[in-house]
Amino acid sequence: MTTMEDNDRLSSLPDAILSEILSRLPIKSAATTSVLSHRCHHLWTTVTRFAFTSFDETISLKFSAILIKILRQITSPKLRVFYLQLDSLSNFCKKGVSESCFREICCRNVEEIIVNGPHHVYEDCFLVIPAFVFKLQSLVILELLGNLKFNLLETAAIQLPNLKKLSLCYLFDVPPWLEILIRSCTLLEDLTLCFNLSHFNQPQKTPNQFYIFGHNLKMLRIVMHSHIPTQRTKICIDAPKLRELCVTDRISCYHFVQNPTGLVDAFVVLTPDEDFREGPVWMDGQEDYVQQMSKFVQGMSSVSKLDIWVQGKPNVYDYLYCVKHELRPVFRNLVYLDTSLEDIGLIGWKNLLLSMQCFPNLSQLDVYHKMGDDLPLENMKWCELDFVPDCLAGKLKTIKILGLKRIDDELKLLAYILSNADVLKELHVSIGSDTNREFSEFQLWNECTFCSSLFKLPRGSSTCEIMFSGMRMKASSNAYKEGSLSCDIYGF
Amino acid sequence: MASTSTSTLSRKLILKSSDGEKFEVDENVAMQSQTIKHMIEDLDDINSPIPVSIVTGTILSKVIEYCKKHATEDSDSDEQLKQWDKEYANNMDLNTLYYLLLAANYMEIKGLLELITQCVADMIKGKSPEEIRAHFNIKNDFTPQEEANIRNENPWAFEN
Repeated sequence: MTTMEDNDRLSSLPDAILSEILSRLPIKSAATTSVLSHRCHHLWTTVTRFAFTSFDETISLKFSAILIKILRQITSPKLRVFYLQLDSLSNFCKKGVSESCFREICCRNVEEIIVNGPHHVYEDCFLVIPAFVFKLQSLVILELLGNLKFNLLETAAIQLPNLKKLSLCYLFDVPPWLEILIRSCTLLEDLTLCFNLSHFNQPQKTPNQFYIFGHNLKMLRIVMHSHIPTQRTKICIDAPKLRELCVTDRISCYHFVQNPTGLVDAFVVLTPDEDFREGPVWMDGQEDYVQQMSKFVQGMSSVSKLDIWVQGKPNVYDYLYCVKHELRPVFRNLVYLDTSLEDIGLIGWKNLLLSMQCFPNLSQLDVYHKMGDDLPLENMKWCELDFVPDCLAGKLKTIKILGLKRIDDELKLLAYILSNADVLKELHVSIGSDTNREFSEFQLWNECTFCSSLFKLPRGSSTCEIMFSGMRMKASSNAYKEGSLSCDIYGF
Repeated sequence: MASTSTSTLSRKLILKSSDGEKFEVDENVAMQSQTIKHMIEDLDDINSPIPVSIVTGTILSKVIEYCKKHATEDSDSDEQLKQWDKEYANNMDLNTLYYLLLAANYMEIKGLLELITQCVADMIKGKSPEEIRAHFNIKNDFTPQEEANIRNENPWAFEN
């Protein structure tokens, strides 16, 4: 065996296999092999995959400056994948560079184009996508992350019959051709659209309606931001095969043309983005908007996991539960609800619990409670309820409530939950960081007091363990015996 | 996907390696090789051994091991299968990898070819030319001047 290993086996492999190996390397590693031997000198130029990744700004700028020169050395007629992940697109976006680059790869029948700029860094350059990219019959995946601009004047020129995955981040308006593009890609399975409508610091004209028709669409993600009030666009989704939906948007109004009966996972964020947290944009017609969004959520009744992030009142929980029995949606498959009640206070629980009547099989509930200081006092009041959702009584095994303030009315809520949840195994309670302004000794004392009161509450389920986690201590009800609390103390 | 659990009995095929070793395998296992698939189509008598002319018995048994695992994929999750692939490739020495590459290429087994080319690519990735030469025993047949010229063609590839 040793004698055989002495031989250079690699170099004796056929070119096709060696090229296949080099195609699996980042382009820099592949080019390094040019210096190994005469046999390897030009092999790297036969790669069918061109991939470069850098999270360093200087390296990214240097590489994009010579990118065309490198690309032109590639001799293979077919380039399957073009993948570029850069920490700065400013050199790539320069006039002529990106266009020559797209031209170079498009004439090689590329199947995957992925160009990603930095995720969170603001760059003052535009990535212009030439029209011929939208005529590429061979294209299967197109993913672009940058400040996107399109030279797409004629919608008739769109021909992407093989496109399966499309991701465009960020668009600064809702261009009229987008609807036509989506409709014309009949094989499209995975669609991501990120809009930043306030990029130019002035209101963008948005269409009244935006139609997403995807007969084969399985995954849909839409993110829309604007810190300037904009006209609400009605986004109509007609995707009968949808399995996963992710919407982060408090501007548009959503509507299912036909409910996706195979939807498994839905993630709906209707709270403002962190960046815009300073001044949430409240637009007109809030009541009507919330009613329509509730109807949209009702259309997701096939999901097994649901994430809903809401803020203030009114919110989707105010309309989810229909009084009329025959109109009430039933989420039979839903086992896990992850939700937030931001800036609502304890009064938000009433309609959340009422909505849970629609989730008969819910076994896990996570509620993130975020309450600002300027919340009116009456919002913090717990009003006794005369009903118990079926899932709370018979199905819920795990409940997590995060971001509490340690006020007496919260204990009333917890008492309601503990006394009515007959099969509960775990209740996690955690205190929000906004109690941090107190002196730490005082904070610890208050947390211990709250925790002891919590552990003393009568429980409907004898096997339920309560886990309390504060800013200064954490404890489990299993370690609480005869009025003495054992806990971990931290932060001193 | 070829069904393995239905009542119809899977046919058996006999594969014969270059050194004369015979292997009896289920048809759906052997059919992962496009080459064998085409050979069977032209075959009158499927009971006669099918010659896999350039593959030795030692290597063929490894190829069959891979094909068997991937013929019954519904029993494992994608994650488990990936883990199995990883361990399978990691247990091979360079010499075996080389013959497996040739076998997978000749027998046209897409998954196996992808797995082994990726495994070899991972050995090259991030290494300096000197380290790659040492790992694969590649003889540097350039004069120092020639080597310097090639480095100058693409200096970006040799910068850290």
